[in-house]
Amino acid sequence: MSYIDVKHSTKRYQMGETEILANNDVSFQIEKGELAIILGASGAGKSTILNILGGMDTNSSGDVIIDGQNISHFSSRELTAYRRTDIGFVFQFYNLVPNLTAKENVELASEIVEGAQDPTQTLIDVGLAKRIDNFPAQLSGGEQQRVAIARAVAKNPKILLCDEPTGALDYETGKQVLQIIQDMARKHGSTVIVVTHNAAIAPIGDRVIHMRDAKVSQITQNTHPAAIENIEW
Amino acid sequence: MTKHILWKDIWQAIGKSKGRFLSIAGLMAIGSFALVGLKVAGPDMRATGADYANRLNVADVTVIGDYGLDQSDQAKLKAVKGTSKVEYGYLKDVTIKGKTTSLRLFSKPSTISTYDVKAGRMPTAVNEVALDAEYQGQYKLGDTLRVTEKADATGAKVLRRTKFKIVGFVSSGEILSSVNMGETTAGTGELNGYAVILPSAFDSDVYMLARMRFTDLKTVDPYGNTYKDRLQTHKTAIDKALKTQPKNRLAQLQTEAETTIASNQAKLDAAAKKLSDTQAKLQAGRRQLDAGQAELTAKQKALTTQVTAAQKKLDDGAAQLKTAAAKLSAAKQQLAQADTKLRAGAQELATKRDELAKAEAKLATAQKQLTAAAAQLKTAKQQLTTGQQTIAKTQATLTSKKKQLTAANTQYKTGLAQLQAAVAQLEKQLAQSGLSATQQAQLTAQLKATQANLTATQQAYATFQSGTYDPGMAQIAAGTNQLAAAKSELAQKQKQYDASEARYQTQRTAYPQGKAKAATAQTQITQGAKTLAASQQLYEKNLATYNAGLKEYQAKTAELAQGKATLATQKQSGEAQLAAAKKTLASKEQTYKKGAADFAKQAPAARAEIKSGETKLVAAKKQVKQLALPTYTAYSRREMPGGIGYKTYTTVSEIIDALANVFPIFLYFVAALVTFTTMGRFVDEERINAGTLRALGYEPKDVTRKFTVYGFAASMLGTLIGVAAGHTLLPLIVYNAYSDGFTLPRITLAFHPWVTLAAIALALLSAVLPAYLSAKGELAANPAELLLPKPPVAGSKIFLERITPVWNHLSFTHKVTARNTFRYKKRMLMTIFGVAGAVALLLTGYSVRASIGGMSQTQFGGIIHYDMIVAKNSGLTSAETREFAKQAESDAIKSTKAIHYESLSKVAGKNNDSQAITLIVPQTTAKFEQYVETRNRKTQTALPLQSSGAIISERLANLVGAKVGDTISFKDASDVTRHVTISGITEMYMGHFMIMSRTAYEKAFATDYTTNGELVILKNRSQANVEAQAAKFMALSATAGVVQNTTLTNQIDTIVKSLNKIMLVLIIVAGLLGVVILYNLTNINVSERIRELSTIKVLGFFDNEVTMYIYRETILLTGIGILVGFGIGDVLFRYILAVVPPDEVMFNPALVGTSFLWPTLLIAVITAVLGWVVSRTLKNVDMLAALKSVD
Repeated sequence: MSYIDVKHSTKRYQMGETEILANNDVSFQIEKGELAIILGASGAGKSTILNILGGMDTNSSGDVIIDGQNISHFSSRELTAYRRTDIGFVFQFYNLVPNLTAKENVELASEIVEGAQDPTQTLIDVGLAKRIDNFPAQLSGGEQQRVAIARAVAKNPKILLCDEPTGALDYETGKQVLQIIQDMARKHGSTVIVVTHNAAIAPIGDRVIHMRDAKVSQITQNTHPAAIENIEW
Repeated sequence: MTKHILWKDIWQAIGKSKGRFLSIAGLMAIGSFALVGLKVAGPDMRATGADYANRLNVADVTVIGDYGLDQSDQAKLKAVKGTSKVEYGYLKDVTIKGKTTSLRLFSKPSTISTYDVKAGRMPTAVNEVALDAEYQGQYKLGDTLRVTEKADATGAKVLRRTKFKIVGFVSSGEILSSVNMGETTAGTGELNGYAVILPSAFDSDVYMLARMRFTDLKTVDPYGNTYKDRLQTHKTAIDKALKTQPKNRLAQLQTEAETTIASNQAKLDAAAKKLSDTQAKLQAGRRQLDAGQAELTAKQKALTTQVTAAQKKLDDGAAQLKTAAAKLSAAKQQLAQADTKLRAGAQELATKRDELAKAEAKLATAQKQLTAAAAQLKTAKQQLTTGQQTIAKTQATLTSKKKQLTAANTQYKTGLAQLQAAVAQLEKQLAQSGLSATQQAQLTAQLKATQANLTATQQAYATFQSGTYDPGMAQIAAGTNQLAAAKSELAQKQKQYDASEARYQTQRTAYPQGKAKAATAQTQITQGAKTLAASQQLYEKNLATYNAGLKEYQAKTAELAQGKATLATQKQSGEAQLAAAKKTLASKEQTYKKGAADFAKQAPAARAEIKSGETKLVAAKKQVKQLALPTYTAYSRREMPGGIGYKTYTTVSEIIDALANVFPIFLYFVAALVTFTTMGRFVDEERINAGTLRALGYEPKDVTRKFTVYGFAASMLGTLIGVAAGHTLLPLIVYNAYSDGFTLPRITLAFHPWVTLAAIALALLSAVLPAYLSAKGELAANPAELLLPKPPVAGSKIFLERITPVWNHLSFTHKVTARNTFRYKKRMLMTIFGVAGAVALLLTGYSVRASIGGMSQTQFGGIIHYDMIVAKNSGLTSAETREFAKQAESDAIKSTKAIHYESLSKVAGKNNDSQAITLIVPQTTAKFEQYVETRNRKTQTALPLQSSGAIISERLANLVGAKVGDTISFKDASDVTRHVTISGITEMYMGHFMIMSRTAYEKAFATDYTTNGELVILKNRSQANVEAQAAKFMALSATAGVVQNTTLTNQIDTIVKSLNKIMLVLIIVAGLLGVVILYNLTNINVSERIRELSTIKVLGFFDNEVTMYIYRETILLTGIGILVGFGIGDVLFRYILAVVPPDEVMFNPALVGTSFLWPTLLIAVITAVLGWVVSRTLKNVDMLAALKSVD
């Protein structure tokens, strides 16, 4: 059995009178330690999948089994606990708390779980040894995103979810960030899922799930994922 | 260009942010309500009071003189300039009969200080009364009101009647309070009401008060300074005009009194003389009466003597006559006897002659009878012989008949027996056997013939027996009987014959004897006739003698009768004269007796009257000597007796004014601050919209309009609500608070344009201006910049981080809170100030309530222990002193302490009112602390009385700004200015007090110490008993007045109650303000930081952690706000203590724990409730939406 097993997951939104299908019978598996890329155009339903996987949203039908647990039937509190211990998030717009230093932003996450990594070490790991006591406003976008990654990984999540992590970054910085994300899977054995509309990023993943019109259109597995330095966009 | 869409956008903005819109409106409503309400309530009250006073034309100045106002006083008052009208009237304090309820009876005024007729009408007849409308529940129209008037020291009363018919219920324009009308000399010492009667019901030479109105005071606000200044001028003028009057009046009074005393003395003397004259007259009358009585007795005696003599003579004559009559009567009797004898003799003679005749006739008859009897006897002898022969013949017949019958009978019987024997023989033969039938038939036929023969014989015998034998035998028996009867008859006749034979023989012998007797009688008759004739002759001679005697006697009797008649006449006339004399004397006696009785009856009363008159005169003389200079006092409406209500009413209105100067400003400041921040936040939120509009080519003013319109709409809505509620609700609440204590009409709600304008201006200032400014500040940037999100507020190190030891000890979450708190400085300040403002107002409200709430308890539980002060009159008689001592030592009283009591005055305070100070100088300081505990308020240490200087109450010291060691001046009861050094300032909350030792008093007043009152502690300290005992003291002529503690309490009570209610309103307003501020700030905090909150939510913070992440700041800031609020509240409270209390009241400045507790609790509850609301909001917040959007 796979580490992540999504079976026939469907998500409907009621928008006024019309019903919108964000996910329509989505099924896929991701193995532990894989770097999975969910690829699709805007509105394809990839973020919805991510939100459901991250315990931020629940599906309307179908099962989502994470490490043997079906989270689709979790209560609000169970979902919060799930987010707290099992999930690390990286957002497109970083979502750092502006009033906290880089270290404090990491601490914000590490404080609430047991067995978290040392926040300082985490920041060093993402290459921000010199920026530890800086406030977000004093950091560049890439640095902020690295703080965000540090915050996500500091609590040793089972799954690291990244929503367009490079979307707000320039090319070089984006690559750096991707590198860190890839390293999380490769070196630390984390299961990482990256959502992006940028097809150029797809080759770096072990598994690429293509989304179109709320459905999984194709799943490809790369036996030899490309190195970050080799991709371009 | 109408820009429909732009306006639509504006209205939509309002619709979408109802919470914010309403909170701005709410803040403005609260601010304007407090501002307008407090600003208008006081003026409304005063306008109501002024209208009422104008309607009833209440006197500006009332002048009262101790001894009334006489014509010279009136002339002086008339000469005072500026008066529009002066009116005089009477008044008298009385009690309702049988109760201790005291009433002040006023004479009905014509134009000044008229009454508001609540029911019925004003009195028009001398027996009618219009009663205080407060008594409408106890009496009805048409009821009878009986009052009891206590005579004054001279025993005079001024009411002509004490029974009145209630024709109306009225409210006075002068006495406004229904709980404290001031002091009185009737009832319990506290005035309970008033009533109006016609002036003609008073019997007084002088008026008791003058009511004056002044032309230049009529048109000005009676509560304004102009009025006060002008009034002061007039009062000074009146004082000046009356300056010489006390002396004149006293002199005049003394002269008058002396004249009265002299005339009374003369009257008394005259009365005494009259009394002795009457007595003398009565004595003379007695003497006359006695003389008359003596004369009468003498006359009576003479008459009796005369009559007795005459009577004796008459009696003698009568006796003689009686003797004569006796003699005559004897003679008459003798004559009668003689006459009788004569007649008897003649009669005897006649009788004897008759007897003789009769005897001769008898003899002849007897001769004849003898012859006839001899013949009869011969006949009878023949009859007898015949009879005997007949009888013998009859006897023989009978015997033969009988013999025949008996023979026949025997014949029959023999025949029968033969027949029967034949029958028996035949039967016997028949019975023998052997007879042949022929024999038998022969025999039978023989028998039959024999039997038939027998039967015929038997029948013939029966016929013989019944028809012949039996009647024959009966005839024989009857004949025998007749024969026997004839035999006896014959025997009878034989006997008669024998008797007649014997009688004949006797009579034949008696006849010759009778012939001899008749011859003797003839001789005697002749003799008797001769004797009778001689006796007749003697009788006639005696008769003549008798007749002569009788005649003489009759003459004498007539004479005597005449004498008797004469005597009777004389006696009668004598007696009549005497009776008349007696009657005259008796009537004179009666007259005398009546006079004496009258005298006896009236004399003691007259003597007592004279004696009491003399006592009174002595007292009056003493009083005249003791007559003090009268004081003439010109009272303003606030000062006049009973005018405490007017003063209290003014005080209540001024308290509201004082509050109006603090509370709304503070409220508005806080409300404006919050509104400012809220509008600023609104502009921030609309940044990108604004940029878009600008980019689309809208002018900056179009964009700005959205915010100004929003601010204007919200603030105007709130302000209009606040203005409306402030104009109506608050004055009505205030009215409701004080209405119980006053008889004034319902508060008049007026529109106050200036305050309304101020409220609107403030609203614009605090809501529209910040909107405009914020918008303008934003719009200064070019549209491109506007379209970009505003860079978030940069984080920075805070001061606390520099204190490493502290910072390192804080937990991570607390560090976050600390940093966040200082990150939004504007909001931090706003929260602190908002909460502080609410708390300050709450603390002030509660503190004022606490400080006024415990006031009377502290004063009368901890400081003043006596129940009342009883003031005594001066110059008491020993009886009055005894009476007073008896009451003072009665069972109801626990203890008393002799004091010198005096009412001092000092002009002080913001209204320059004359402050009444109660001076108490105990006779000895021993156990004085059981009556009054003088102590320092802060240290609670006792302040002993020094041998010099005075202890004064704290409020008085504050009012005159005096410290221990200062010397203050004041006026004593006789208006003489005195000075005293302050030796101590004692805790005291109501009323002004000055307490001195005896020696200190003598020094300061330069006079000898005398006691004139008692501090009294009762065993039963209930209000009812205090009143009852006060009434008992008041009833004594020795008592000048009673001061009860309740007087003070009641006076303050109305103020306390009103203030309490206003404070409650302010507390509610402050509480609402707290709610709105905290709600608003929390809302802003949440909306401003929704992204941050979403982030931590995504990071897996549980709901309560998320809530606390943001709310911990609120709690911290609220906590700081509460502490700051305590500080500000204390300052506010002190300000209120300085401006609000009436002159004679000190609010307890000590802050109490509960005053801090309640605001803290209230804010804590609001915070907790809002925390819960926030938690609910955050739970439902869409974290994804927030994270996705770019801003």
